[in-house]
Parts: sequence; structure tokens; C-alpha cells
Amino acid sequence: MYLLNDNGEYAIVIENLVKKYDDLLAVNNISLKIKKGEIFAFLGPNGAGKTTTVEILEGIRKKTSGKAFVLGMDIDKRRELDQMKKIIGTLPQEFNTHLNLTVRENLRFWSRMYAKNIPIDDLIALVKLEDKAKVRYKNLSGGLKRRLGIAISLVNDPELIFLDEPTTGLDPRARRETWEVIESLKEQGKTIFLTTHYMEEAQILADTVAIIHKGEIMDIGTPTQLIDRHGGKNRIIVRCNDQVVRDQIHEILFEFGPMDNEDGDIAISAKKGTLSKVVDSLDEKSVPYTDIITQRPTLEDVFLALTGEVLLAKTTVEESS
Amino acid sequence: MKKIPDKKTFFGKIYLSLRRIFGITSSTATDWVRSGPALFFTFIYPIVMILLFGYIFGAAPDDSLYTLHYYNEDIYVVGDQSYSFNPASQLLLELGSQNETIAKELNLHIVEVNLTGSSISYAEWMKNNDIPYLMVIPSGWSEAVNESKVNTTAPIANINYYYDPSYTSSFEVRSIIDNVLQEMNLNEFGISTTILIEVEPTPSREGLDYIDFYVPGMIMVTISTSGMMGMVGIITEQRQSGLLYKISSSPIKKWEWALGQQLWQVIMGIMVSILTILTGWIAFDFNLTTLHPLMILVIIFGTMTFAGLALILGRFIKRPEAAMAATMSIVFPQMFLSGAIFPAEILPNYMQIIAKIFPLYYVSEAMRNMMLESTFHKAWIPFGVTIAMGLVFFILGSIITNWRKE
Amino acid sequence: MTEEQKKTNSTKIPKERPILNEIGLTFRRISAYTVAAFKDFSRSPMTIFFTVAYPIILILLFGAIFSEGNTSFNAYELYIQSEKDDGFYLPGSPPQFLNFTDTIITTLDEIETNESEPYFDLKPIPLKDEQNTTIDPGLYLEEMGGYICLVIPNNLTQKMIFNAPVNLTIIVVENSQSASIALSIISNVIYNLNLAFNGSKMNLGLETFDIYLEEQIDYFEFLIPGMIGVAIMNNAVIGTLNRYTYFHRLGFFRKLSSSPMRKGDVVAGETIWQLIQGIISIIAIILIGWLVFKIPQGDFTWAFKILDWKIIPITISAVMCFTGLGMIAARLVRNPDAGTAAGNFLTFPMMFLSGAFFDVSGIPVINIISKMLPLTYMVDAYRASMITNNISIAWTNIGISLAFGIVIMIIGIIVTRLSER
Repeated sequence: MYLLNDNGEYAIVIENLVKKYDDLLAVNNISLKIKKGEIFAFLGPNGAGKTTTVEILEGIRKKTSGKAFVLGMDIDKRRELDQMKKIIGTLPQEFNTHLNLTVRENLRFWSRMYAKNIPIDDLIALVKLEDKAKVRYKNLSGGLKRRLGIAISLVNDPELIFLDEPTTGLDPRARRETWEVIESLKEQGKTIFLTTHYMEEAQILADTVAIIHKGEIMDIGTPTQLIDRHGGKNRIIVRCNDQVVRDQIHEILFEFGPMDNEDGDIAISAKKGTLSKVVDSLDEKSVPYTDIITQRPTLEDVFLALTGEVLLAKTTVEESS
Repeated sequence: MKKIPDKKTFFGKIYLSLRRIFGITSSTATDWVRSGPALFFTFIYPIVMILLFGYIFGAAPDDSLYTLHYYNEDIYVVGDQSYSFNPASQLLLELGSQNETIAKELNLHIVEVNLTGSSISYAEWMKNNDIPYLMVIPSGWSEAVNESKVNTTAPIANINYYYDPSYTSSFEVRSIIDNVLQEMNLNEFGISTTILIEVEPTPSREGLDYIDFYVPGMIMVTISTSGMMGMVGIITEQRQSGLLYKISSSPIKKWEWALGQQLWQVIMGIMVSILTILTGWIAFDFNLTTLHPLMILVIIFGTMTFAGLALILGRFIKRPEAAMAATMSIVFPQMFLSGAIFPAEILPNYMQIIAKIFPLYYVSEAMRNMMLESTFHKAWIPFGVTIAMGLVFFILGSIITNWRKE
Repeated sequence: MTEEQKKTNSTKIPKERPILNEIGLTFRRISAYTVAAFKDFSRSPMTIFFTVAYPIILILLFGAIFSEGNTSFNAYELYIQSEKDDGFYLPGSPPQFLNFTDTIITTLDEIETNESEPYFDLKPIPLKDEQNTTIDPGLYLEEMGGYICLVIPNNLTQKMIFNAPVNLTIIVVENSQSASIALSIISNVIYNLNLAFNGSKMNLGLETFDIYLEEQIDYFEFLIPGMIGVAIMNNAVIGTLNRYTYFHRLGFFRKLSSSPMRKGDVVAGETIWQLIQGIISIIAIILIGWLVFKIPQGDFTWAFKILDWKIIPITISAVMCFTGLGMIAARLVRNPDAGTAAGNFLTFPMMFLSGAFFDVSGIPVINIISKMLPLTYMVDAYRASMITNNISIAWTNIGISLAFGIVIMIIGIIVTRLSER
């Protein structure tokens, strides 16, 4: 039993968790341990089983089999589950609250559900909704609604917070601001279980990432560990914006095995010394490329390597950076 | 951090529980109150219902007189003289044709029409002119009557009465004419009255009208309809929006949530009741002395019954459209069979038995019987049933409500 | 890159589409909407059950109460408290024993309707209870929930002979229709007893003529068109209202508005869907009515007799009108919670005021209001087409229904907005 061996080190312990619907295996034998105080991310495309797992841990969805302990409490035991609910916070994927209540009133409502409360003004300040405090929920934009959702998930000063796709649908600035909030939570010693299909989010925020695909965990590790294990080599990116030039570059660099990527640039797997050869080849023929950069592999590459599929979700953060 | 009473103590626990329940009630109430149209319809609805059915079932004070058209075919003409005094004119006199006061006493307003030489039938004429009843004294009637005075074997002398059966007043006017004819029969033929009928209203009901029994029934009908539909609406709405699942991940217990929702339904139920009573009082002169304090309990537990039923229904039917259709399938028959909208006496016996399946039956019975001293003791059983239903459905609803996703 | 690759890579420019193609696309969009609605509906057994079951419940309920097969005429409950009557021996040979109390009670017991069913169910009230206290008939009547009670004084026979006139008391519940009818029957019986006692008869009579007798139809048949109208109205108004408010809330409409789908397509799709539902309801109502009420009576062809092609234009008008109404309401209400409340607010009064369940033409105030409601004309049109076969009334009402349908639908289209632009 983990509990007995556990020195209170782990916030979440999952053993052989399974969720089956008729023929569909949504969660296929997942086991993992999440340390207290870290940001843990489930990275995977839509339908991978992320939300299902989170809902099981939150106690709002039944599991088929397996064990799970959240903050030392067995979610199978009613009493312990009830205890657990007092000290966790959740931001569901389809989050909604009372439409006609204002920001402040909604926070007051949720505060009443818990014995332990953080002052509402502090929460409003944390998510920067001061000038919207009297606005009704239904009149908030999508991004602000999400921010309120985060504030609501914190009303009881929880030790563990589940954030299910917290930045989906937000604009780049809103996304950055949300990341800042999440990081500040970690500084307060809270554990965060995050699910996302955005590679950068996992890479930038998470201490530990689990790649999840079709209900199975493909691998777990820090972003760096995963990239080192599966990311492959660095890449050289040759940027150009003309199809003719592109064709030209393909011809010249043929021996290096150039590939077109989704951005319309040309990517070459980098071995030692490749970069100088590429630059020389192109300069020799005076090819008018826009730029040449080297790129470390990302979790995107990790995902591709592990699953053979593309993670695909590109955020606009890249473009603005 | 805010100081909350120690949650481990008994009172602390109660305080926290009450706080959660109150949170649910106030948030649902605020949400509802601010939803504009919902509020409007919830309160206009009972007013419309009571006015509607009040008028239909004749609760409206009917001071109006029935306008009776008549055509006298029976004019004696001898030479240039028309006899003015004969049984026909006697009859018309007794109906008040020359004297408004007499007519009024009979609740009539007499109008003569002349259809001599008309090519269409009386029925056609009535339909064309929207006349619901016409009395025709056929030619030769007076002669027949006078004949009967000397010849006891003479056939009965008939007046003709044409009527539109869709008018309930047709029956009443016919009764009036019948009575006048009976009186005239006694007088013209010198028959003494040996036996008479005296009509009395029931003792306690003196001063009470149909509307006074109608209002409590109507209150319960509105509460059951909007109470149940409102609750079903809330549950399916919150489930769809995800709010319910977020709530389920918080420490609040199912029964606390259910109670919080029910409290709001009860508050609305009481407001609707007050509104209905006021409307009945203003429009139809509803007698406020029939109200009894225990009725509040009937309203409370009645509302809880329907809210509980809604919870149970919401457990099995997830889609909003289906939930609403199911609710109406229950609410609608219940309305008619419970005797609240129209008197149960017109229903066939086996339907009156079926009526006892529906909760509304017991709630209405409790309310009705509480109105009079003489029937009060009959209210205890349905009252007890109402309280039991309120509690049972609430408990059952709380237990089986499913907050978890499958 | 090869020449071939260049060719396949070049962007395709759409050809010019002729008008026919445009119509085809529109049709495709509309049918997509309708098919989606149908699939949505058909995959929820519960929804199907209740959408079809709802009209069936109406028919079973009202049909059972009022149908011809249900000849169990409810005898009027007549409470009687009569004191002892010693009677009287009328001298003569042979002497005749008269007991008018018995005579009255026997007459009331035996009096029958035209269908040979007893008019009254006599319920005697004892004079004293177990504690030997006198029972007050009025209070007893109230306790038992009765509506009429006849009180016969003691020694009625002798009083009539020697102490005329005698009063019989009848206690009634005011405003009870049953009491009124029972009272008039009893009054007639007593009046006739009076005549008989005095050796005379009724010389003046009243012959009544129901001016609508030829047009009289039995209640069940009166009801069927009413229920069809009600079912279509409920489905269309509440269904459309609910769907539209949810579509707005869930952002589905916003998403649609960014596609080539136009408002007209959505409206057409919705109306067609309601038409299909309306047809389902009509079939269900006629089928159940036929199987449950008509076939047991031996009327095997009833369902075919009442089917008339005029049902089609009426149904189209009704669907247009009520879908339009639903759309207008959805625009005003917006909030799905309020949706059903608003829907019921519209439909419930209309059900009663339109003459669907009972004839309102004789009720003051109500009959005027009914002329302003669309459902009135549709129900009358159905009735004239299916039951009374009155062509002119049918077409007049169809015309008015169509007018309502078109006007309300147009208003509905104008006010509906897919997005908040």
C-alpha cells in the first residue's frame, strides 16, 4: 500500500486505473505518482483520456477498476472522498457557474460551499478581475470566464488543484497571464494537476509531464528528460517565403534529407557539422532565404516519436514570441 | 483567513451545513430573479390561470339578465280587433313582458321579435343573428289552453323553445320558463298547492361561492405545475452547463443541495399562493376568511412533494426536452383528475379512483377540507399524506440524484 | 519538384455555379438541419416516447371521460332524510293505503334516463347517530361531500291531506351543476305528485328544439381535432422555443451563422422538422383513438372516414404558425430556463380558450377571446374537415389559419437572429 510507504511525499498515487465504456477503453491501466508541490501535466490530444482521468480523481466520475489516492485519501471510500473534496480545487473543462450572478457573487457562492475561505477580494485581485467584480458571469468574455473559474477553484485555499485545459480558447496574452497565476500557485506550495494539448504549456509550466495517448501513458518525465529520450536530434530550420526559392533549397540541400514543415519552412535533422555545411551550400548559390535557425526538439517531437501521430495543436504563442 | 466556527464541533457542523444550504437557495433565487422573463412568466401564469378558469366555470358574478327573445304567433284576430287578453298574453305578463320588475325577478330581459312572413326557419334566424334562445308561442296555443279547461282529455298545449346547447344559460332559461308554466298551470286550472319545495344552501357554505373552493385548488395546481417544471428545468440546465458537476466536486452533500433548491421552490410557492389569493379576491371576491394557518404547511409540503418528484424524474431523464415532456405528462392528467380544475363529480368512477394515484389529489383534498369547520376533520388524512409525500419524495430524490458522470 | 507536382499543387479556383446549383445547395443545407434534428430526436428513446406519449395521454384521458363507449352515466347522488310517515287509509272499498313519503322515495329511486339508467343513487340519512343525537342533514351532507339532500318531514301523507301546503326542504351546494340538474328533476317529480294528488295534470307544456341537433357530434369525435391541434401546438411552440434557446446558449447558432447556412435555411429546417413531428402526433392520436375507442364499439372504418386531404394544408398552417410563435418567444425569452415557463404560458390558456376541449362559443368573454387565437381556427378547420364535413366552414377556417401561419412565420423569421451582429 502506497499509503504506508508514503512519507506524505505524494499528492496523487494512481495504480492500474481503468475506465471502460462498452467497447471503448478510455483509460487503459494508468499508474503514476505525483509529488506534492509540483506542477504535473497530462499532455495529449483531445480524446486521449485526460479529462476522464481527472474527473475520476475529482470524484465526479466512476472508475471501472484500479486504485487512486488523492492527498492520502482513498477515493473508493466515501468518507475519505468527502474529506478530499474539502481540500482540492477544480477547474473543469466545461466550466460554468451561475449566469446571472456577478463575479463577486459567484465567488461568495462557492466560498459558502467550503469551511475554509480565502478573502474574496484577494481572489479577485489574484486573477485581476477588479474592474469586473460587478459584472454578471454571462456578460464576461471567454477568457475572463476562465479566469473567474481559476479564482473559484481557489476559494478554499486548496492543497491540490485540478486544472483541465485551463487555457484552451484563450488569446496569447490571456494565456501568458494564466501561466503566471499557475506559477505563483506553485510558489505557494500547491500541487497542480494540469491537462493540456498545448505542447508549450506543458513544456514551460510543468515539472513533470506524462504523455497520454488513447488512454495509455506513453512515458513520464521532466520535459528535458522526455526530449532527451525521444525528441531526436536538433533541427536546422531554413526559412523562406517563396515557393520558387523553396524548391531551389530542396534541390541544393537534397543530400541532407530536407522536409517541409507546417509553417512552410524547411527542416533538416542536425548532425555534427551540418549547420556549417548547410549555410555554405546556400550561400554559395546565393539563395535568398529569410533566416536559418537551430531548433531543439520539443514535446511535439516526443509525442510523434512515441505515438506516430502529430500532437497538432499549435498555439499562437509561438508566432508572437 | 476568515474565522469560521470550528468545523469539528457539532454546532460548527450545523452552521457549515446551513451555510451551504443557504448558499444554494440564495444563488438559485438570485439567478432566477435576475432572469427577467422567467420571473414574469412565473408570476403572470397563476394570475392568468385563475382568471381564465374563474370565468370559464362561471365564478364571475353574474348580475346580467338572460335576454329571452320571443315570438308570439298566437294573436286572436276577430274582425279588426285583436284580443289582448288570452293565455298567451297571460304567459307573457307572467314572464314580465310589460313589467321590468317581474322580469328582473326571474332574471330575464324579455324582447319581442316579429318573424311573420319570414322565409327562413327559426333555427336559421337564430344562427344568423346569434340568438341563443327563442320562445315561440305557436298559433292556437291559447285556444288549446282554454280547451283544456273544459275538456280534461285535451292534449297538452305546448310552447316551443328553441335553444343553442352550447350555451349553459339555455338550460337555465328553459328552467325559468318551465317554472312559470307550472305556476300558470296551477293558477289557470285552479289546482291547489299541496306540496312545495324550499331550497336551502348547505349550512356552512352560506356566503361561500364556487370561487372560494376554487382558489385553493388553483393554488395547488399552479404550484404543482410550475414547481415541478421549474425544478426539472433547473436540474437539467445545471447538468448541461456543467455547474452540477462542479458542485459535486465540492464538499456539499446531495441532500443539502436538494434542500437548498427546494427551499427556493417553497418560497416561490408561497409567493404564487399569495398572488393567486389576491387575484381571486380582487376579481371574484374570494372570501378570505376561509383561509387557515395550517394551509401554509400544505403549501410547503405540497411544493416539496413536487420538487422531490422532479428530482426523481431528473435522475432518469437527462435530456431537457424529454424531461419537460415527461413532467407535463404527469402534471397534465393530474390537473384534471384531481378535481381542482373541474369538479371530480363529472368524472367516471374509475377515473376518480385513478385520481388517487396522483399527489395533487391529496394536496387539494387537504386544502379544500381545511376551508370549513364542518369538513376540517376530513383534512387530517390527506394532510398527513401530504406531509409524508413531501418528506419521502425529498429524501428519495436526494438519495437517488446522480451527480456523477457514468 | 516535378512538373506534375506543380500542377497538383496549384490552387483550384471554383467554377461559376448556376442558379440550379444554388437551390440544390440550399436544399442540402435545409435537409441537413432537418435530418440532424430527426436523428437527435430518434436517438433518445425517452424523447420519442414522451413526444408521442403526450398526445396519447391526452386522448386516453379525455376519451375515457367523455367517449360514447363510456355510457356509465353517473347517477346523481341524492341524500334523503325522511321522518316516519304513518300514512293514511283512504276510505273506500277496498280501502287504499297512502304513504306519500314512500311514493316519493320510490319514484325517485325508479326514475330512469332515456337509456334506462337510474337517475338517482339514493343515500338515506339516519335520523339519529350512535350517540342518539339528532343528525342535521345539512351538516351530514357536507361531511359526506354530497351536493343535494331532500328532507321529508314526518307524517307527510297526513300533513298533505289535512295541513296543506307542506314544505319539503332540499339542501343544495350552490353553484354545483349536478345539484342544479338533480334539483330540477326532483322539482318535477314533486310537482307531478302535486298534480296527481289534486287529480289534475299538466296542461301547459314546453317543447324544446336543439337548433344544432343535426350537427350534433359525439364528444369523442369533437375532441379528436382539438387534440390534434393541441399536440401540434405544444410540440411546435415549446419544442422550437427550447431548441432555439439552447442553440443560442450553446453557441450552436453562432457557429451556424459563420457557415453558409442562412437564417431562412434554419427556419425552413425547423418548420419541416415540426411538420414531421406533427404528422407523427396525428397518426398516433388517430391510431390510438381508433384502436382503443372505436374498434371495441365495432366501428372498424372510423380511421378512414375521418382522414381527409384537407388535413395537410391545415397542418402546414398550424406548424408554420406555432413554429413562428416559438421563434418569436425564443427571441424574447433567450434563457432556456424561462423557455418552458413561457411556452406553457402561451399554450396552456390557448388550449382551453380555443374550443379544443369544449365548446366555448356560449361562454361570455371567453368566446370573444377565442376569436383572436390562431388555434381556434385550426381546430375548427380540422373539425369541419374530419368530422362534420362542412366544406365552406373548413375552407374559411383553413384560409384564416393559413393567414395566421404566414404572418406569424414571417414575424418569426424577421426577429430570429443567429448571431448577435
